Amino acid sequence: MIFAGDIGCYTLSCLPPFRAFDWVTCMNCGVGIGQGILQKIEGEDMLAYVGDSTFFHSGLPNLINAVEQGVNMVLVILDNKWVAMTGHQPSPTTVSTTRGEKLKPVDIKGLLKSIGVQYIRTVNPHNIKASIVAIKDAIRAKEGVRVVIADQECALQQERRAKLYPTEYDVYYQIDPERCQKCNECYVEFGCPAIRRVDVDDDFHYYIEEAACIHCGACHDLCLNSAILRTEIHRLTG
Amino acid sequence: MIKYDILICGIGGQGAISLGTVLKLAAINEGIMVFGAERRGGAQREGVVTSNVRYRGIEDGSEYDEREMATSGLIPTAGADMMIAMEPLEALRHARYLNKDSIAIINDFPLIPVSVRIGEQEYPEREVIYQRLREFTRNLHIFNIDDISKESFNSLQQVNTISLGIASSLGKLPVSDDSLLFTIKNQFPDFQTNKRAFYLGKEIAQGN
Repeated sequence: MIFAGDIGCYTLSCLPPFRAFDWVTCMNCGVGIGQGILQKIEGEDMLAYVGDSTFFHSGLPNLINAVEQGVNMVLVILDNKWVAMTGHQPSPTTVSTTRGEKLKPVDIKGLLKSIGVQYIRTVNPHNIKASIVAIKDAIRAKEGVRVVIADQECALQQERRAKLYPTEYDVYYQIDPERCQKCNECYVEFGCPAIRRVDVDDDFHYYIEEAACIHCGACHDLCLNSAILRTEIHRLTG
Repeated sequence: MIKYDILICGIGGQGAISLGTVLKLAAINEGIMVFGAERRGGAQREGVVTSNVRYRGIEDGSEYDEREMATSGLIPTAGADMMIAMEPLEALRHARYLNKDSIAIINDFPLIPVSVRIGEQEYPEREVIYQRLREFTRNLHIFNIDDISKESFNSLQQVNTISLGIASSLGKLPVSDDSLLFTIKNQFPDFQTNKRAFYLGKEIAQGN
């Protein structure tokens, strides 16, 4: 299995604990260089990543070439609706700004169809189990260019919008120290920066730092012991 | 001749760039020249962030000296008059900017990186970090600002305002407290809490 990396926020996943990439050089090096490597290593599966902004920057020519040449690969388009890495400039798929101004987003799915991609699936990446299934299915399909669109707005921007324009209810996540078995699934394997460790006397426990949490809810689904609790606080109306 | 360079270093998400913005806007408000540069790279979350703030200006009675002016937004090695570090390890990483007269304000609250969590690397003992930093400067001011903020305000939102108060008390900032507070008022919500946090920072610094 070849993992083709690219430049974006997801480049950070080449570091431990994920170590998700085999190479990172420039924008769209994943699909581009990967096609060259597949020329020499035939029959190997390839999983390439690209973000939405990088895809619109220079990803289309590479993908058109891959479709035209009948390259066998899976492409994951991480569509977070923003150019998040450089400081949240709008990308072609931005739906609305943090101030609520509506923009006209590009329809990635229609665009891929018009190029001639046969296999397109959309998945919510905050739902980790569904994402794993979608990517595994795409790898098993074996034929041609298969695209999985991870469609979810950057959680940082959702958080910013919620601060400016309060939503119907607030969501909080916290770890119940009594249920927590310290299996390290969230702290080590998931590596969320908001989950922190505190030493109490001779013992320690994990907690979610509210100032760092972006309320994406991924840890809630991840916890094997259901120790991460989700609390909704609704506003009184009237 | 006003000449004061401040380096702010921290981890992505801690607000180093916002703190730098406040210091810069306060200078613009007062009519002092200010230069700056930010390093934000892969730092939306958990990356290295630095913000350089360089004040330049001509006081009454002093002469314009071109050699003293800043030509770049970046602070040269050993050129920082003050360093505000929001994390002990970041302070050590940016120790090269310190000289023997520099004032270093350090938030004594380590954020454990992922490589340490999975057991590949070790977080150095904090005493070892401070020992090394003392080789660079004698003016080391260590506060656990995160705990202070949690105790006083029950949130971590006020950490930067407290460190701004500490900085304005310990260092000879060219900008006045009033213009700093004026900038905070314009930039951020909840001014009253921030104002209390600012004066709390000054108190802590004077009590040290």
